Amino acid sequence: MRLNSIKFKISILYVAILGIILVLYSGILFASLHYTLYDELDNELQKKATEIENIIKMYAQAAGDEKQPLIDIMDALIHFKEELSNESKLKEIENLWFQKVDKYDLKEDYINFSNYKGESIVRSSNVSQDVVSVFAKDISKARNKEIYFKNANLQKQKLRVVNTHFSYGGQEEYMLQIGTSLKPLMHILQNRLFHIAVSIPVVLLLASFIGRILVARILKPVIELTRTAQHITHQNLEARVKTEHIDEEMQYLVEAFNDMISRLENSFNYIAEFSSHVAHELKTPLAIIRGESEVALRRERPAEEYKKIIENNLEEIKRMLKTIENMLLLARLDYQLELFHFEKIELNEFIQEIYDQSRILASEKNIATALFVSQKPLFINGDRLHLRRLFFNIINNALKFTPSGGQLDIVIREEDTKAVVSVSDTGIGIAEEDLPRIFNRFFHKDRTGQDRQGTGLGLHIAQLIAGIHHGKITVESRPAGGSRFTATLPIQ
Amino acid sequence: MTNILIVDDERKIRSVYSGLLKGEGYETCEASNVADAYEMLKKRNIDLVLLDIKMPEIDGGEMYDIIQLFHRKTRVIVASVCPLTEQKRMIEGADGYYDKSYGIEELLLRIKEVLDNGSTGNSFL
Repeated sequence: MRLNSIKFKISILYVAILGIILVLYSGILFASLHYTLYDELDNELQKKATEIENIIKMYAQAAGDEKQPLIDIMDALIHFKEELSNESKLKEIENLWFQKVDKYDLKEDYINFSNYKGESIVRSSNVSQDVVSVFAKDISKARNKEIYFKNANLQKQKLRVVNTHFSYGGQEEYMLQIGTSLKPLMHILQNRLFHIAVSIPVVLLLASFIGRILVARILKPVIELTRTAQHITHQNLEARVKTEHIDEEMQYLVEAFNDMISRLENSFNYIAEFSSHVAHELKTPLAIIRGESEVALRRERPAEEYKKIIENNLEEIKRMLKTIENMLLLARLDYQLELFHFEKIELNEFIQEIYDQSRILASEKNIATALFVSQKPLFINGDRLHLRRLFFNIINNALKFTPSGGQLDIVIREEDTKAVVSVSDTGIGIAEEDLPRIFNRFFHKDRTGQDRQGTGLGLHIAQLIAGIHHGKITVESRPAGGSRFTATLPIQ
Repeated sequence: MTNILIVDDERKIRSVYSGLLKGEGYETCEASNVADAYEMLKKRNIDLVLLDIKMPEIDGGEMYDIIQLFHRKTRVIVASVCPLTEQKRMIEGADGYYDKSYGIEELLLRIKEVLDNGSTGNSFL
């Protein structure tokens, strides 16, 4: 795993955060346990103290007549002496006392009555002088408090000690100190600590593995995407990244990636197709030029013939240049690279100009022309240059396929929100099956028996330009019945 | 006299080839599309058809006519500006194939081959 990788960073981060959370959480729980255990122990100590105090007072009161010194009573009880008296009342209390002793396991505890100077007055047999000194340390602090708990360290044991005040019948006040072993409590705490210390690393290790697996799964599309990208060449654009079982965020990336490849594929296909078309369209004129030239050179010919051949070749050369020009325009239109400068154009004026120029061409072919303008001015939003091309293409097309003596009419009119320009001719017409195809790219009027003329792109380009102006061109025609091309453009 | 039918929608191609072949001693006639070519085949005794095929698409009807041509057992040389491999892919079973950009010597050679042998066996050109 590289240090720079997402996998590594996320794993480390994840494990670190999880580790911190676990430690904090365990810490809190542990502290809670610590508190609870001590609290319970302290409560028990408090209860013990209360019980001892009660029994002493009960006994002292019951034995009040005999006026036994309190200290002797205390001493006897603390040493767990049996058969203290024969009197039934006292015996009862004695029995009660031993019940309590058993219940609270008092024989294991360190019980001590000290004065406020720290001198021990009455103590249980297990309380040595060392113990007394240790207990005595707390007395100054405990004096001012009602009840005081403290840990005490003996040589072989750790104790929890409670300090309370004890007095009876206006006599001296003693400090009652009871110490009980902390061993069971510490045992529990140590156990818990051990569990934590062992389990947290294990959990973190497990989490890091799971984390890595999760991250790997998430990143799988990225790796696949990289691999696919590496295999893509212009020859191998079919590769796509699969989109099943992918998380939503990655899905966007993968889809965008796949779409990008599709667009690339389309572009390459377009280029390949386009190049192929250009080559094809140019090869025919070239074949003609080559053929004619080769034939011409086979033997000596009069100058006139050579001249004719050169003229023919020139015609074909012009044709090729026109083809190239059209093809380039087409490519630019396809990719919207052509700059269109839209302006407000008065249609009648505009067409009039085009019409005047066309008349010259028409008269050369002996075709009569007529222009019918609309009643009122028509304004459209258009690019002059390209609209000129549009109309010239339509008109030239009409002239091309109209024999000598024919008629060409242009009609401009307004229809709803549209400006309509119709170009009608009395030409050879278009077969019904060809009608839907005449605006196609490279459509030459193949089956009409006529010779191929032009580039097959004129009408197509006209249609594209119409589209860019939010208009369209439609055609009506019958074989040998003339044709009418209608350009519709929105009015400004 | 060998009669060759030139089928091409380019008038200039027809005239160039016609002139050339007449000069070589062949008889020629012309048609500007396959349908007309078919008609002409009925009327005249044609030995060889020089058939231009339209690319990139040949529509179904035209295809049918082309196949009919083949069935008549007239020798057919397919001509086009497309590479020979493309031509062979589009029309199978012709007697010969000719790329129009190769020039007239090539054309004459092809015609000779087809007329002499019946087909251009392995046309690797």
